[in-house]
Amino acid sequence: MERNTHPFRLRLNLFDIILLIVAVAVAGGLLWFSARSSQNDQQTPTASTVEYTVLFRRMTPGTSQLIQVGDSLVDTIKNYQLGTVLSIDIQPAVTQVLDQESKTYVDAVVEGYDDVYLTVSASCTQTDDSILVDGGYDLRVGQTTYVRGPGYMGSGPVISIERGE
Amino acid sequence: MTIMDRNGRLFGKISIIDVIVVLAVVVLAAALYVKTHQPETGVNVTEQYITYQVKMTNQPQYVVDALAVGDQLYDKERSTNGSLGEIIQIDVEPGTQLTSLMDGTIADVPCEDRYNIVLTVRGKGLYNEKDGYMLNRIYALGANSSRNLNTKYAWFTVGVLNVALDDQAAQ
Repeated sequence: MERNTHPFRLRLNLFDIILLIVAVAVAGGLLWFSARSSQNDQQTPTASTVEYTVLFRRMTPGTSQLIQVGDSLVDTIKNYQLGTVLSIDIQPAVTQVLDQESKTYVDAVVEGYDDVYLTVSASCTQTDDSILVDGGYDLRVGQTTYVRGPGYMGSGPVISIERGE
Repeated sequence: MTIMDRNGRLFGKISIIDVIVVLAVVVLAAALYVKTHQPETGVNVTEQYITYQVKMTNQPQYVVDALAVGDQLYDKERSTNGSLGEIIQIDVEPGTQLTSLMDGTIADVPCEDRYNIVLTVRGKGLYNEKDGYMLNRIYALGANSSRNLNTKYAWFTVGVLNVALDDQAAQ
């Protein structure tokens, strides 16, 4: 049997070259299209600082005194670092009750309990549609937060977020 | 001269394998063109502006303050393909809540220091009789539906009051 001892030689005719060019062009087009699609989907997050106010509703008597300016707050569910307390405003707790005579919901003070308004500063990343504190906590007005500080806990809605210009 | 010779070459010049490969490349190129030039729904129609109104009831002042004309609306719970539109008008009226009364009736009663808010939003999408209104071609929206929506700054639950096509085509 005769052994094939000829070295390999790549021989391309004109037709093969045209074919290669077309295939490379199509592959390049697909890459360009997928790159453009992913570019449209992504938003570049920007690092900044956000100032927001959270309301601890109806804190039990005496516990609001435990909160101090400078306290670090932590989300009790997933342990996100929610920032540092800048100021504290303690008000009598108020809830809505139905007055059956006037058929109206009215504000009623809950004796002995406090509503505590905490202004907090936190590092965050912002995109066009969200503000993420500590890389993952989605901060929005109306959302209920569950928070712990040094020796106390509280829960209630975020009631304001300072808008960046 | 035969069409194909004994070596599988058309007219003795071009390999039949080469022809098949060329056809495959042409199909790929055509698919690329269709992908980049046709709407994702496969229906060659122009998006239109869709205006809709959503309502939230019995909201505190801080929710009113957190909303602004120009804010973009999103739904994190569903696929939206981006913003669901821009808030173009905010109407605020005294708050009410549907509640049971001791006389055995149910009434929409006033709520002190609370507000009902109607947002008018303008988005882009399609309408057809089968699917109804499809914001961003994929997000179905109809009157009487309830949604948890958000802007960058606020989260809220709304009921959809109405949805309608604008006259002009979206850019």
